[in-house]
Amino acid sequence: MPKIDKDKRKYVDATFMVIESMEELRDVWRKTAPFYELEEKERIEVEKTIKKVRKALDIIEEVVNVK
Amino acid sequence: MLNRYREEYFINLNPIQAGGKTNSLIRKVATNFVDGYSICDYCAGALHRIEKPPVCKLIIDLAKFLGTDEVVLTHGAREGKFMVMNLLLDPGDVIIIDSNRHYSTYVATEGVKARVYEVPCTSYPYFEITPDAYEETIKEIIKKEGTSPKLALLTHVDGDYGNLTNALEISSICKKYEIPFLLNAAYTAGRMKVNAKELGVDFLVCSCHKSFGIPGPLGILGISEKYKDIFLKKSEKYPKKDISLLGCTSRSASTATLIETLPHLENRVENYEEEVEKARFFVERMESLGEIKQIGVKPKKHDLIRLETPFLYEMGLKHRKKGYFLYEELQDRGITGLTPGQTKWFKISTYGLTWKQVKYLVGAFEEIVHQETNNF
Repeated sequence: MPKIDKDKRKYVDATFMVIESMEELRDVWRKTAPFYELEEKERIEVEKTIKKVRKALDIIEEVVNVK
Repeated sequence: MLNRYREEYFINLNPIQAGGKTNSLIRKVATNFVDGYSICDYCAGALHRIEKPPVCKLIIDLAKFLGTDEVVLTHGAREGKFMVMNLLLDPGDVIIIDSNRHYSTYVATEGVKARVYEVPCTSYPYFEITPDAYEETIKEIIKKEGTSPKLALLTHVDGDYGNLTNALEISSICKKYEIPFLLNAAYTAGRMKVNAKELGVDFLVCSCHKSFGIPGPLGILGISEKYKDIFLKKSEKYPKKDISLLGCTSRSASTATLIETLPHLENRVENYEEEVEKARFFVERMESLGEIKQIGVKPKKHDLIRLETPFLYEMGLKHRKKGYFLYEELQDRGITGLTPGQTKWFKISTYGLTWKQVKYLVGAFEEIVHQETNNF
């Protein structure tokens, strides 16, 4: 039996990072419904979230390239 | 796949849902604990004994937060009420309840075969439960039955008018007649400061999905020291299991979210005055439209608002869409939560909305009223 590689849990961690970040975005939609006109603070928040999610998706994508 | 984007697409005014709306922190925790029995990873024999996640600490902190001696988790406020009635009343015993009570209060009395006396409320338009009426009803019971009721229940804020009752004065009356006092704080605890000891309450029931901003089903029953032993009686065969709780109650994500939200509740209840301000602002602006009247005690002391709108009903009678026009006009403006077709009166809550949303809401009603008045 091969030993488990705990480093590979990064895929799971990145998945939760994406899910949880999306919940933060939901907060923005809830606070700004029904027009979604963001104030400067919210705009920065959304940008930060998008960057965080992109990074996490890159990590998840690595698993596709593993042979 | 089932979906629900109501809170993201719309401003949702449904008063029963207002205090149960979650924030991202709560949804993150709920996702982490969404699997069945996930709260039980490190089961210690009973839910309230679990140390990881710290349910046992939650119980202690909740008791402190609510000013009760003991706390147990239930599936909701109604289960807490039923538990109290079930343990204190025998079939045929008399219970006194207020006439603004939730239907589940009455159903629970039927479940235990109690005989009910209801405290009448004042007449239209206030529908208030007063301490005087409460005492009068107790006196009437003593006169008819020769003894005090075995239990008294008061609805702290009712779901029809959003009236805040004088729990302290009514608990003092119950003490005078030696009646155990149960306060249904489903619409208050978690929204505003509720301290059982300060209010002289023997039993306090709370609804976490109604007022704590977390998913359900989850409730809290606070118990005073005097009644602790009856409620926390253990099974003889399974000594870690409480009989009244059938061992464990809410073995779900909701308990985990309550742990997460508790440290934030102090802040939440401190903001209550601002929530009341929003409700008063909304009422004032709506009443200024004419022929709109807030029903219940004035000024508002709670976010649940009932408005009487007879002219909208009149408009609906002649409208192509009948009584559904109001619902649809609001939907078109990104507002929901009213009962479709209802125009004579409706209930809403402004709890948790931003000021920008509250002002938009007022503007939307103004626009609809002016538009329909012109069409009419």
